[in-house]
Amino acid sequence: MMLLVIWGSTYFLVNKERMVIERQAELSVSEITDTYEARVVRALREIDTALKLVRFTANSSDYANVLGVLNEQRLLPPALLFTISIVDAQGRIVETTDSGRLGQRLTPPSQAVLDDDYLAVWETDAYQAKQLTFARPLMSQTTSEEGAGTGWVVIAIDANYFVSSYEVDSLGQQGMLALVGTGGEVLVRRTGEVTYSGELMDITAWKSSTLDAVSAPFLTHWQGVERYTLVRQLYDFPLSIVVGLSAQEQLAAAQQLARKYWQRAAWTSGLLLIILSILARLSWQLQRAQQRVMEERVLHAQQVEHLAFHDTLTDLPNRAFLSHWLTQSVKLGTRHDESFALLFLDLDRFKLINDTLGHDAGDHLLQEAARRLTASVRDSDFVARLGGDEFVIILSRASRRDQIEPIAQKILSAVRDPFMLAGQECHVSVSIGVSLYPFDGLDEQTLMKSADMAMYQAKQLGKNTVQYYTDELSAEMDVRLTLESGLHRALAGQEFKLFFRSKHDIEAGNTLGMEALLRWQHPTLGLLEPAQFMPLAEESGLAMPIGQWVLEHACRQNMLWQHEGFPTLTMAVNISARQFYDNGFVESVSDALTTTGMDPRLLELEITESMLLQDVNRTASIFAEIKKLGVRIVVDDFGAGYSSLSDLNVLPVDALKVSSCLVKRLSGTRHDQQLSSSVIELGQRLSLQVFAKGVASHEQARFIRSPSSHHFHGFYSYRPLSFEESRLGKE
Amino acid sequence: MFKRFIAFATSLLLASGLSLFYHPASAEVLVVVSAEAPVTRLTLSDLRDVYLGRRTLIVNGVEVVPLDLTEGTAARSEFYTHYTGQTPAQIKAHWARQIFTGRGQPPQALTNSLAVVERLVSDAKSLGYIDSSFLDERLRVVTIE
Repeated sequence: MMLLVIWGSTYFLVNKERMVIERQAELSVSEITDTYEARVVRALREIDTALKLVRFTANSSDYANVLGVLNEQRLLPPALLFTISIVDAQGRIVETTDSGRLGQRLTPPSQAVLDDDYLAVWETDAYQAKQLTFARPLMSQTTSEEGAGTGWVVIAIDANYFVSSYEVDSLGQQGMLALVGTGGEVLVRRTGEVTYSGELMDITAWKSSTLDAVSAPFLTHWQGVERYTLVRQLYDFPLSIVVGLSAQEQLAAAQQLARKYWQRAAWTSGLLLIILSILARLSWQLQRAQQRVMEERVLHAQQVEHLAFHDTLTDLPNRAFLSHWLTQSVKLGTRHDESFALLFLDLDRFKLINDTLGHDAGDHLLQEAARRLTASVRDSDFVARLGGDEFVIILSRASRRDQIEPIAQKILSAVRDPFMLAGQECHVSVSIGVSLYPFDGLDEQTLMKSADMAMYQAKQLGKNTVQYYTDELSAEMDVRLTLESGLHRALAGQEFKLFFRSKHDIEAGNTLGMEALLRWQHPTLGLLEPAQFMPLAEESGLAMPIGQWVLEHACRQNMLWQHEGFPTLTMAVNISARQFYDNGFVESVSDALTTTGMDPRLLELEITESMLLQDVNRTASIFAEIKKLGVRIVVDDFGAGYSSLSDLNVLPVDALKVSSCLVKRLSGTRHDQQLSSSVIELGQRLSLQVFAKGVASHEQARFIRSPSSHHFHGFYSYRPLSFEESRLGKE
Repeated sequence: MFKRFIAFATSLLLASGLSLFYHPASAEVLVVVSAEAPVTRLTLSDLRDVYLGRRTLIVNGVEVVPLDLTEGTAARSEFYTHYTGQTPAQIKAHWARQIFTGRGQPPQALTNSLAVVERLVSDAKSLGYIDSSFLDERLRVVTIE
């Protein structure tokens, strides 16, 4: 745009300048022509006047020396330039101002006729210079009557005279002043310092058609030079003048100026381009920098957002993201009536691996697990890590178990594949709890809680499994929660009760001892058995205090009965695994004995067969300490599971309680009877007292009393009695 | 341009050479006036101006009328060469331009020194140059400074 303006204005300026110069040239041509015309005409008139004067004098006087007389009177033009002669009819010079030419012959122009009075002009050569010669016939009124003329008056002058006004200042070196005859023959022409003659000029073509005195100059091209030319026919003389100004010279200044303008335009354009390119470059750089800053900001914002919504370790969405996603899913589900499933996952052995192989291995496990989980589900599903070893997967558009089950199984098998951690193969499993929208909850919290419950249930059911949320599960959980909160209160608030089962002699049937059984009289849930609350108690760290309570109260009850005069009875107490392996167990037993003052020999600790075999060496050392106190040890549920008999032989066990299922078999098929008998016999061979457990019917009681099963030392009654009942029974 | 410069330089050299040769003390041409004329001395530039028609009055308001000799006389060419540094042809071209442009007329030319002497004696305003051999007591030699 600016370039266009620059070049446009330059073109305009140059053009204008050129036009101004042209106009000036034309004007000066006109001026010079006017002046030149005036001078030529005056010079010619002077010459003509001189000619007429000489003729008049010659014709009207008798002077022998006409020219001398006239010169004396200073009536003739200066002899220095003008040579004036009188020629007779034969062409001989009879009188002249140039004495050297006296007597020479002068050839008049061929067309000159002496009869006519007119001015003849022609060229001659004299003294190696071109001369113009003007002549008038010398005739008078008297002589004319005699016929032929008597001669001529002639004036010769250096041709240069007529172009002597040429000035280089105004006309230049290539300008032109010329005097031209009627036929176009150049009488004299001057260009620069040089004069020419004898050329032909086509002046008719250069004349303007009008006869205006002020006609415009023509641009002519003659002999290789372009000129602004004016031709003017002289009044009353058979001559024309031609004035020319060289176009090239006149325009030289304009052209130089134009060159300067063009150069300036070029420089300005160049400068402008440089400035523009610098500006463009700067703005480009600025834009780039801004863009970079923006990109960095966006990137940073994205990173921040990513960090805020993703777990740094596994790069999975975090709890916040999950919450957002869940809320969205619920909203979409409501609007489009779509269901989805929420899977709550917990790695089963994560804590163990973290503790034994180190945190790095744990982190690695989590990352690998995250990868496997992501690979196990569809792209449209959502996998998040809640923290620790807990993950959540949301399966979109899943409403039925048969849709979820394959995916859950795929996840289970994916996690079951061995992990390579810290250079060793590790086996991990996962427990999955599933809740479904909208069936198991309509909001984020409920869905999460439901899935969590189902997951807990899966853990309870042996891990590496899937559990679906049910309302029953919920109820169970409610109970669980109620129990959990009630346990502490129960321990302090006398809600625990002891029930007693009697041990009878096989022959006499009389009571040998009692077995203390723990019950919880819950204010709202009724009477609860240990299986319903002991796992909870173990989790809450209440197993030991409760065990202690049982031991103490059993012993106290025994002492109470002794004080009341009952026969001395043994007191059996069931010991849980947690309690047994607790470091303070033996101490708690001796404490209970010292507190109550009961004879240690009356106390029987019942240890289950499975428990005793968990760690045989440890069991042996604990047993040894117990034996030091003088307390008896009874193996409970003998025959229910696997027993290493060799181990049993090593341990200082006092009695066996045969499991009730074996007892049942005694009344079954012959094969069953033989199996049970041989187990019981085995016990007897190890020289232990053998008791039957869970004798419920009279038939069974009769059977075990029968001679075929004489090997039982006794049996336990099936139905436990409360403290009050047992007392009544005694009475 | 260069050509012109060369020509100019050459003419200058020639002029200075000639002027050395034709020193006024040994000149054969003398600038003279009537013994009764008031003019006794002229500067060279005044003399040139008078003879080239550039002025007719000289310094003290005295009018002088120059007299020339006709072309071809020895005294004339010597006079112009010596005092104006111009050749007769240049003088001729000068007067051609002066006459053609209407700016002046050349001095009256007389045919010989004797005629000049006669005119000077009869006209106290006249100024002329003569061959030194024509000098007599009626005339006064004008000192050219």
